[in-house]
Amino acid sequence: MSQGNSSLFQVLAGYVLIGLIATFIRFCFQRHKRLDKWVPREKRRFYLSAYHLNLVTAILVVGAILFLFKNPWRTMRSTLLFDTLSIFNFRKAYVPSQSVPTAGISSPRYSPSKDPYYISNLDEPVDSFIASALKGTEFKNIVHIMLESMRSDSFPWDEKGLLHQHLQEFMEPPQIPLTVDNITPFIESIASHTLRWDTMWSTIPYTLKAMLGRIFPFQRGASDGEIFVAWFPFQVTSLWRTSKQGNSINNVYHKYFDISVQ
Amino acid sequence: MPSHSLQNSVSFGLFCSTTFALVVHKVLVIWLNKPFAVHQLLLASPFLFAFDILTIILLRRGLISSSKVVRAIASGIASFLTIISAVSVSYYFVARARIDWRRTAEVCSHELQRS
Repeated sequence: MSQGNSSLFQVLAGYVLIGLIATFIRFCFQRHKRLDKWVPREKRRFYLSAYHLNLVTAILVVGAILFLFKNPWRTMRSTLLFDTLSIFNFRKAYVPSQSVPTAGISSPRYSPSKDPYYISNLDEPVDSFIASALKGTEFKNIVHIMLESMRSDSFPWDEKGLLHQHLQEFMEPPQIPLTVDNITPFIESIASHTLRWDTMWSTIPYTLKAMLGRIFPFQRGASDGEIFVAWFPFQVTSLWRTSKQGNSINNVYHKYFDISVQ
Repeated sequence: MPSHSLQNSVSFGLFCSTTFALVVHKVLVIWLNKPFAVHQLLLASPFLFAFDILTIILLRRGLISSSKVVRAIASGIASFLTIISAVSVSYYFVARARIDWRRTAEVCSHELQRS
């Protein structure tokens, strides 16, 4: 609902309307007994035989299991009831697996190379437009601020945005007014000195994974030689634990990032 | 009341709404996973709808059952599926994406823990 002005009730009304129309049509057919004119009763019993319907359904179900076992066909064959019932099994689905880590990247063992959702473009040259725009440019310090899982009209706060309208309409009035100065004063203060993108598209269905293409840190696995990424909060936690054990910050950086701090 | 038909108008309307909702949801899912080759889609379509047909058959069996309890359960499931399909479609209108129900449960559980 935070997406603002959802069309849920319109869609639901459409479904109810379809049901009403179907009921009305059947009522009209029954009233005029037109069903009997179409097909003789004996043949209709044959065509609507439960046995044949069940047989065809069983064949289709077995075929779906046998033939549609690869993604994206596997996800598409699933029905709505199964999707919603899988809520009760979400923990199993989101615990990262060691062999095929397709789940969230909350584990340092996550490897994009084994993720079927992740399509690498590292083997392609830099986009010509970006290459020409950055030609001859020298950067000294870059701060990349990214707010994930948030609407663009809340960063900085848009006082005319859908989220603002939704809060004004459905929530209790806040103690302080919802303005840019109160919600996002810092980012607003530096907005005139920044470059901002509102049209960043995620190429995979997890925004955390979508950030792999832009964030430090990448690191090389010590055991298998694969490049994998560690989620930044996890690395901060690791740094904190290691530093509490008495190691110097240089050793910590060397251990986790394979770089030395000068 | 014959057992091969949904004589009750409410049950019949609910059954039609649910069937339509399931078909719309499946078409939406296929649409979100495009593009596909035409021959691939034609070959796979019957199998893609297999579990939806199975759901519809089971729902019909429930709705025409002589047991009131079974009819009530089937009606509840049908209503639930219709609403959930409407949620999916409305979410598509806003986000152009498919709802990951497991993810919604994860978010809800985090919210509960926080509160």
